[in-house]
Amino acid sequence: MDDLVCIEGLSKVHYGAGLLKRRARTVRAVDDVTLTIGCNTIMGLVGESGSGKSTLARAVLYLDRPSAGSVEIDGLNPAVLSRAQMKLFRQRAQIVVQDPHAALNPRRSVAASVAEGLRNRGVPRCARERRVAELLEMVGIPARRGRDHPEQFSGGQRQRIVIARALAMDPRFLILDEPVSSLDVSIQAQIINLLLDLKHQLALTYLFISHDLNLVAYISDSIAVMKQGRIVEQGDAADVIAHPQQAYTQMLFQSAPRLFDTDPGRR
Amino acid sequence: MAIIELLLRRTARLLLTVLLITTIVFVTVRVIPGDPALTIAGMEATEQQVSAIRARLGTDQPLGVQYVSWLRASLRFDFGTSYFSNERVIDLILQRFPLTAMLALLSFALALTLAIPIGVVAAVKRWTLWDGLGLLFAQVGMAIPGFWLAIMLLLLFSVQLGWLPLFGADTPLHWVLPVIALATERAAVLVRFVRSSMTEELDKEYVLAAEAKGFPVWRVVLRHALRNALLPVITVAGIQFGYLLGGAVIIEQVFSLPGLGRLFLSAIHGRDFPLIQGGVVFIAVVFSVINFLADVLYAVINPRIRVG
Amino acid sequence: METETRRSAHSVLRFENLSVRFSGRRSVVTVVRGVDLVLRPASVHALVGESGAGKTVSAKAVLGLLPRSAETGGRILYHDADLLSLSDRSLRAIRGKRITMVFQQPDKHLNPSMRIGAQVAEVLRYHNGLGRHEALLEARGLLDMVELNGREVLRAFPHELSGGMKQRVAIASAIACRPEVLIADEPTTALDASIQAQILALLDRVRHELGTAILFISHDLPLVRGFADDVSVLYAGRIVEQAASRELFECASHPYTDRLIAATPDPARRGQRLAAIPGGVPDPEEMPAGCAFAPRCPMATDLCRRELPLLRVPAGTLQRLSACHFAEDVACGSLADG
Repeated sequence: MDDLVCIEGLSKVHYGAGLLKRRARTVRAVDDVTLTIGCNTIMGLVGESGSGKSTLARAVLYLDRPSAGSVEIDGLNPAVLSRAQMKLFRQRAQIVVQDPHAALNPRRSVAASVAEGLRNRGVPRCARERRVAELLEMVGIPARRGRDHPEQFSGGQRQRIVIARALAMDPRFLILDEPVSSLDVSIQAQIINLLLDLKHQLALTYLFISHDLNLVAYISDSIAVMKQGRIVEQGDAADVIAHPQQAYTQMLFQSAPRLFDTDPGRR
Repeated sequence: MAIIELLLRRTARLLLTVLLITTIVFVTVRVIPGDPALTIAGMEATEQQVSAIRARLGTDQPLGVQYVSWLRASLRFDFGTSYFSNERVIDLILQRFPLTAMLALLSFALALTLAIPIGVVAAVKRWTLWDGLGLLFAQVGMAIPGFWLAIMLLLLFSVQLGWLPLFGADTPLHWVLPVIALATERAAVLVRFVRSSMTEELDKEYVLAAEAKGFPVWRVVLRHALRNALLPVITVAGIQFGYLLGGAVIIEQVFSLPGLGRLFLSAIHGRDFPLIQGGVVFIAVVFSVINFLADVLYAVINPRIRVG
Repeated sequence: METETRRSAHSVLRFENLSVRFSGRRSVVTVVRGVDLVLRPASVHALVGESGAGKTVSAKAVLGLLPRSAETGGRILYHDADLLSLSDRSLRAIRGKRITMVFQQPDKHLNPSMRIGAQVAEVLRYHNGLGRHEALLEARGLLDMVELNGREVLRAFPHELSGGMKQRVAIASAIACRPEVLIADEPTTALDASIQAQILALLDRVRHELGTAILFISHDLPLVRGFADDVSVLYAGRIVEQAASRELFECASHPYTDRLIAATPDPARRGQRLAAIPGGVPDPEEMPAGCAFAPRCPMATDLCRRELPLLRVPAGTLQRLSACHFAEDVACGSLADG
């Protein structure tokens, strides 16, 4: 299987704003991370809060410039890209974050929010309208509701709209940073199913970040475990869960309460 | 550690502010139309007389030279001598300052003793009659100019009723009206601030948690919410104290109190450059120092800055 | 209802037809609609449901912590006292002492400007009349008991502690007076999984060592399964199913419970689609006439849409309650993969 995402030796160092001791406050939030994600697969990224998951996500997308290391997504390495190519990179890799309330502009109709990316890409107006309708239907929002504003939608619907907005860029790679954490279980399942469907339909690749270990174990093809900025373990999902090499991984997955007693890794 | 760093930062800011103020004062005074030499010399003076006065004052020097010597002197609080009285400016200021400082301090104390209870009660009894009364006080207090209130108080209590003395600062009774007049507007501003800060605090979860522990309302308010609610008030109160100094200038005029206000007003009338400059710099430094102290106090009281 | 009367013989806390509504300027919204529940001594009773189901509102009603705009109906019996009709004064003597609460976000539920020791000691000083020194000494013991370093933590401020440590502090003050009932409102939701397990283990110890009954509010089914003795499933302000935890997770007898279990991701079902529940929770202002779950229920008939199903013991069972007209037809997991 081809790899869509190659991350090598990626680091992100935060320098403290200390007046007296500058060095002392340096934090290696992401420390020498090397990961590959196969085309059309889902990699789950787990780790406790503060382990650097979200920082890694932003560094991978060059939303925050990494301090060291390289990223290549779909053959594009942002460190050496021209401006025009960088625009392409920004389209190919998208991020969906936890809070769908904050992610949408409350003063714009959701259709306008979704259309914005299309306009930036130079899609003509008539094609734009048709595409927005298509995208909304694709995520399960009736196209006629495009005129409504974010506050007229529930949390789950808003997350669908955020996903539609990301899809407007024709991405190949999506980072999903706790995409369902603020949603109820029944709604969460709807969004997870939608993400799985979209993955198949559009041949998408996901980096799925979550603190819900059951969810990660359920959805991922491969799993990477992060601790204090480093990847301490990665591999095939079933392997990592059934035969964790690190005590930390074992502790993580053992601490997650289960709904069923069967152990998937051993079947 | 953190507190030392904070002290250094705030001190640097204090020095920068003072430097900026001295510069602005210097420029402004030079831009105001009118030549002090002409004012001092009088209408019938000859050209030579005026030049001689200019030379004595140093106003015939290039601006750059004047600025450097001004800065150098300012550092030593040497603002020169008054054009008119020939006394050292800093001596004139220090003679008058105690009265103004006293007036401001008393008013500040009154403003806080009024504002904190009123603001707290208004917040605790939100949307009730008590809250309404508190807000009414704040509204009216802010709308009435201090000098007008001062005149009205004078007319009522001193002229009509004769309960309180009219002018001067000889007995404690003399202080009553000026302090009330000066404190009211500040108290009004602070009431609103205390109320909103307290309201915000009361809506926080730790207050609910304290209630869940079975503590009575007054205990929750006074022991838990009040301290946190007053933290941001410290900063604002520092700024309000600065306004008090400014307000005192006018109130002194109304009550004929021999404070800084009257000194500066006459200085402005007479284009007494050294006195104006010295006065403005002095007030600005006092203002900055008070804000500096408020910041430090805030840091000392707030455990999140104190430790760390 | 036989089972219920038998259980009530020894209950520490009992909801009888509890209802809570909020009156706004224009409308009245009912969020809890007739909840019956029995908390047995030293047991853990989980109140499960999604947001808006009325879990937290019910919990706050116990301690009289609802905002003034709330109107309550029914009774909440603590032994023989109805907490809803007690005077403020008598209620205060119970809350924080006999019935205590631990909240969801430990970051927000401690006073940021008070030392930990003072916060824990305050409960002892107020309720048990201890002096400053004795109270601090006992607070230290309590902090040790919740597996913190009492000597160090006593002098700390909340911001110096991690989330898990803060939740331990909250538990320490909640058990300071050895309460009979502890209400835990999503106590681990804001914490990492490994810390979550530790906090639950701690609560379990509290229950066994102090004999404190726990009303455990959660939306997290896997967590509930491992921790609770009894479970009440709330949907739109009503209990739709009530059973012993073991029975409930073995086989649900209400379609909502069944679908909720099916919608929960679990590694055991990798590769299968999650059985999402279509639609969303009904708007409390436009509650359907019949069963509130009917619009989302795969089994719903005209009867469901017309007539409100009452909580009853389904035929063939003994100790469980279900509010479904077709409780007997809910076969285990049959809907899950449908």
